[in-house]
Amino acid sequence: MSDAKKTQQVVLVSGEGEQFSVDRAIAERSILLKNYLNDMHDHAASDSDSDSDSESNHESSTETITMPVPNVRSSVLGKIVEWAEHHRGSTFPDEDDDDSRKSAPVDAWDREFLKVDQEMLYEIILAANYLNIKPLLDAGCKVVAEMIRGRSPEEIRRTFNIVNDFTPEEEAAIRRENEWAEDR
Amino acid sequence: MDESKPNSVFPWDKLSDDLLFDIFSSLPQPDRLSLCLVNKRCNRIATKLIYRRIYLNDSNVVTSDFMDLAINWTLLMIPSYLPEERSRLLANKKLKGLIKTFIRNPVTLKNVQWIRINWDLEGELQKRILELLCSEGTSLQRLENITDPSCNDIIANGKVSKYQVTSFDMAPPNSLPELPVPENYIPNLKIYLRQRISSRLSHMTLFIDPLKLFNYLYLLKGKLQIVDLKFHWRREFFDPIYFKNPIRNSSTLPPLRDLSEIFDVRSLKVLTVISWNEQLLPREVEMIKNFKEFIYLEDLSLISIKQDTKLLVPLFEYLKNLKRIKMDFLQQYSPESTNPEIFLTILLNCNKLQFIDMRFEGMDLPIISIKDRTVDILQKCQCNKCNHVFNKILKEKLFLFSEDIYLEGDHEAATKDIFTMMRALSLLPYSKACDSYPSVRTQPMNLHEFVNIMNDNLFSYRKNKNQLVKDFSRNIFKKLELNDSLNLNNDDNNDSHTTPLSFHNDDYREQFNNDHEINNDNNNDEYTMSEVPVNETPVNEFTPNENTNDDLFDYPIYNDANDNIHQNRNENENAVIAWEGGNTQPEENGFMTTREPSETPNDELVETEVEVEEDGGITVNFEPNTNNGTINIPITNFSTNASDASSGLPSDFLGMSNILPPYTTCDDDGYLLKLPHEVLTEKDVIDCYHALIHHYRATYIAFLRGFPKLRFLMLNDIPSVVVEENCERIFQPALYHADYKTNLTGWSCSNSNKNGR
Repeated sequence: MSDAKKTQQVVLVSGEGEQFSVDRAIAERSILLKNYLNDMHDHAASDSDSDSDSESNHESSTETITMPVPNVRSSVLGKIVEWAEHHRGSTFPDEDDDDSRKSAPVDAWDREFLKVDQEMLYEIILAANYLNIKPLLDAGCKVVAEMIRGRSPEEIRRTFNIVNDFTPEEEAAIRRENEWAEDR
Repeated sequence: MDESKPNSVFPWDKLSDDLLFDIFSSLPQPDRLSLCLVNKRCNRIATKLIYRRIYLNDSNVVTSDFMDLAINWTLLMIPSYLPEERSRLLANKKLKGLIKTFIRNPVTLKNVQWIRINWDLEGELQKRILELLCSEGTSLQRLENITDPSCNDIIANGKVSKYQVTSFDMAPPNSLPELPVPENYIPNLKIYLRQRISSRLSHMTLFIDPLKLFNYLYLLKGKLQIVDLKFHWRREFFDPIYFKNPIRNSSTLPPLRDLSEIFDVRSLKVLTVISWNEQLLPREVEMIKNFKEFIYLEDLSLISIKQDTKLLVPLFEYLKNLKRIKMDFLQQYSPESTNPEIFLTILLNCNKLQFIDMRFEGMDLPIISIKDRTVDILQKCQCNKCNHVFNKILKEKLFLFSEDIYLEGDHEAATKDIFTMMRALSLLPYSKACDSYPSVRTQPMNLHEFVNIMNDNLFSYRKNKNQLVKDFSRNIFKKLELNDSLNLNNDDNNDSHTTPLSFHNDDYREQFNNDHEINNDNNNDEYTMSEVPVNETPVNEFTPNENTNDDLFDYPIYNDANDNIHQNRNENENAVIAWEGGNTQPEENGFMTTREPSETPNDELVETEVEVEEDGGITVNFEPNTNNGTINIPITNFSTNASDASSGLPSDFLGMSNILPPYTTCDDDGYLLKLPHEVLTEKDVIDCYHALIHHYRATYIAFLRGFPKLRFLMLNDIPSVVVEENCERIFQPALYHADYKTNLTGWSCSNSNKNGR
């Protein structure tokens, strides 16, 4: 990506209509937005360039692009922009490298950043999923996973208000079924 | 997105199955198992995860206290310090359980995508699980590590595997190379090749030169689109008759000469070479030269291979797309540090690397180096913790006396070079890819046992050097007089070669409890309650296994070869348990105190329960490890040749070991002889390990600087993961992290070089 393209401004518009002006590089942490932006770029470049990853620098690069994100509320979009700004220089595991993505410890800054109320955490996860921001989605999932880690099934149910819909017999059958994988 | 009321409970119900799956997949095996029991929905999702990828290990897999290593695998949970036979027994039992589950609930079977087979487990069970998967495992894609040719038919004819399995493993004729090849091996292989070779294959393992394979045995129609290729380089005595008439020898079918004529260069991403020979054969050298063409390679592993700098430097100049590299060089069967020239070539050419596993001591000399049988100790990091390690552990324990730096034999290096021993004794595990594959121990070991071995060696060494110190306040004869009641005499003891261990120990314990009113019940319960499948005999009736008694007496404390130490250790692990009991900690008065296993921070301790029960480890309970006070046990019998040079334990093991404090013996007058310093503790070992990481600071910084995408580094067998701290990439150890504090902070600002960020 050329420098001009990197610093090109993108205005993200939240569900409520609030505007967030960010560098294009920040917006492109979202693969969804990145693809949109590249499509628009291609479109603008029309016949001259079919390669979306082209390094060519167009006049359009200096223009501001407005990008509505109607599915995401302002407060959530604000958080996501904050996250992307912080991780401007970070490198993350490849998207298809599931082993690395899942095994990496939660980033210390992300852990603090995700100390929000449960509804907000839920919405960040949903938005990260929708916008296709894998590192943020992973961090969100890991933070929820921490609420499960080391807990008994009953404790997990209590934590998440889950109703046990197993009969005692079913429960016993599952225990038997998975016994081979247990640590005993 | 819906507007919702603020809620203190995470709105779990609103999450899609896919997102729930994402969350569950961030959790390790034990939590996935718990999730199965939460409710039906969780069960469905977690079951999918648990059965997706299965690793049939037969030994302990090391877990991290810092991150979830190899999180995508479900494996067999085996304790860390179990001798091989018993660990296999346990693994077989678990495998049986898995097979039962597959039969009882086909949903589990249908979730399996990838399984890694292990042929050290019972053959029939392996075949049974393969049969089930190949015929009913509708999600099955990959069978890894198939090494038994008699399974070929199962895979080739399985209702599912026939069409779906994308891996092709050429099972070798024998588990070891250079053995007679069964007559029908090659004919069967030819049939199997005809059945299996297709454009669908993406994974392939070969025990034969591919040029031989495809010039003589199977006529390839087009290039193979293999993604992941593994070569075993070893000698097999195939009947030359099959390699006389090439199937390709015409102008329309010219003989294949290059690997790139067989394997599509554009597809191949992962290449693994496992060398079984000490040297590279000419054909192998040729192949390495061939690898250059595979410029899209992302993952290269060279395992147990002879390091050839001239050959490898040009290779890495071509492989600029590597994301993962593992180099395991051997020089005369021992690990060798990567040549700086190779390191530099990789540094200059492969800056996309995310995972590196190599030995490299080219920038920082080791802490302990041995030259002309003299130890040189080098301290590079001067932080408080490192100062503690060098001053209090190295200088006041391992190298207390000036003569300690001179080594009289290899066994003395094993006594004092704690850093080398961490590798040699499997405290640090082996892994194909530590971050994503289970890291197995190649021998039973854990921190607790490592400390024991080091202390055994140290005690034995000091005793041989006459460096033990006399404790005038403790005379065993005097105690003896007071304790006739125990009524044990030397005769009994001399018989102990043939007398069951349990007899003595029960006897001791009973007496001990009676006389001292120490209640060991808690401990007993803890051990007897643990469920060991193989032997349900009540503790009191247990008879130790046959070789136990004999072996106890020639228990060698140190040996010339490290693996001997280990081996003997294994055979004598009953003895070890009897000797140590809990986790020993020296107190100020110099006597050993013991903590109960449950109090130790090391979770692996618990695992000794299994062995204990199976062997009637009553001896453990005899150890006064429920007392936190000093041991002050009456001695009723001992032999004065306790300092028998062949053994680090008092030679009269059964009689004495339970009674003398650990790492003490007594002299002819009955005075206690003890180490001239405190014993090594688990904390010491962790401190040394952390100091080792600090020591290589310059090397670690070189990696951070040179490989901006690096996420995981296995440097000299120490796994560490890159994390961001205050906007700076640093390494954190993935194993034995404890309260590790990095000494890398600020590295990125200390130099103008900006490559690191």
